[in-house]
Amino acid sequence: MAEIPLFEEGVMDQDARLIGSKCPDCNQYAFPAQSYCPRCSHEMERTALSQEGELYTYTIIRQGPPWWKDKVPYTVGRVKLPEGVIVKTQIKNDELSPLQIGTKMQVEPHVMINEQGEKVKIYRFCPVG
Amino acid sequence: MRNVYVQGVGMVKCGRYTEKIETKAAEACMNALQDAGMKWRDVQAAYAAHVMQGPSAGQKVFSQIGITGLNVTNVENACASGSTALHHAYYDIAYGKYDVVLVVGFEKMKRGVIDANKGEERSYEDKLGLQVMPSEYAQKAQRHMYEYGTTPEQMAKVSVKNHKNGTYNPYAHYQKNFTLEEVLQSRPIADPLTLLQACPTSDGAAAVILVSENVMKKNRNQDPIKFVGTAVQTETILEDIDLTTRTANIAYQMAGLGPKDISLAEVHDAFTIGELLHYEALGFCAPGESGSLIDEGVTEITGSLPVSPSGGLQSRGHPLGMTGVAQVCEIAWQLRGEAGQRQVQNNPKVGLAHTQGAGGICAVNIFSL
Repeated sequence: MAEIPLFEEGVMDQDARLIGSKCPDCNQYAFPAQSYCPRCSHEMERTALSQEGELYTYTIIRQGPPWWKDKVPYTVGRVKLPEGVIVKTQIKNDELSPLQIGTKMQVEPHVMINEQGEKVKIYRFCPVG
Repeated sequence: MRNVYVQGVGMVKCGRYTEKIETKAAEACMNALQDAGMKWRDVQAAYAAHVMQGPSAGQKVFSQIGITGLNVTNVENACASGSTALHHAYYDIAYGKYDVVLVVGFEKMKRGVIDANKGEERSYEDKLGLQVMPSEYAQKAQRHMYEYGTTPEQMAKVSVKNHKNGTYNPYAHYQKNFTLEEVLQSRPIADPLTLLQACPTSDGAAAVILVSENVMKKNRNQDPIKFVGTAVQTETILEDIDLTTRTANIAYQMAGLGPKDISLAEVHDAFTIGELLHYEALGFCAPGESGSLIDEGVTEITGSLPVSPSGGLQSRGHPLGMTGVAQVCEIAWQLRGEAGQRQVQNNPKVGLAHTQGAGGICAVNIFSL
């Protein structure tokens, strides 16, 4: 069976490992990967990022944009990785419960229907354990 | 550098227009010219601030009031477009390029959540449903609640205050009072924010005429309002300092003033939590104390530091390109004592206008009698 296509090229691999970039000169990381360092403008190198981090903040979206109307409510947030980058992400929270900021989170692959009605693979974070 | 003054201001009522936006924006320009006691032919350069009105929208506006061949620049800097245009107009005069510059900000808005990716391929964030403006502010709210114990009630009070102020402003889109319960119990949009804590989508236009000192003197302004500080900045990863704080510090330093000198402020209250965050970032209170500031009524029209007496984005409305310009109209009216029922009571001398825009933009402009 054909693999489900990624929602976007260059952001993650099939196992939802996030692809970022690292500056060989000043060690700054970026997500998503970019060509030049946001700190010193040196050329950056692609690198896989940590798969765990801490929940920095979140919200439960109850009203989405028109092209996302049928998907609300859903939980989104920001996860801070050990590399220092903050990743914007959907969060697994089927119960729509209040979350605890600072909770340890890990990335996982998830399948979603995109705007065109096709199945695509995305990354999302869920609380560890 | 030369001194720069606000010679005239003008607006049209915010709302949902059936007329073309260039017609309403032209009306705002004419109102500002009348207020300044000047004619369109006196204007040497003009800036048109707008976000989604298409190429050369400014030229369409100005052709409605006179085809005089002047230097026209269209400015797009998200929600800070109007403030950014004022910033550049300031330097046109300060550096002696022109003596009379008009800035008009205008926007006709689509209803609902803003589609920030108009005209280009959707970003990865958009494809994940992450690029939703209420969610950005809601996440700031959650973080503030976590760090400082700020409550949803304190956020909702911003909406109550600004809607009340709006009932006194003939230019406001919404002129209706809401109780704290009504704000908290309105439809949730992104936890903890509810619908009545989001600015509406409004159409609107506002104009400001800036002049050099010699032109100001010729026109015998009774209460000349001096443009004393201006800064536009973007996010940095080089320093661990809030964007608004950094921008305000530049404008404060330029003006030779500090937060304690501010008599009134118009801040970017697109969502209620925003206004609380800006109290702290602008130095009106210490970090984490914005909830107490609103609880104590300090920022009411009757308080010692009124914030958004116009009704702010919450009630006057937030036609994107207009906002930074309309804030200066309000500050001018307040400093001149012409604000009617919403006139602040603290004998104002200095007004501060603050906007911020998507993509990490902040603008602060300061005016003084």
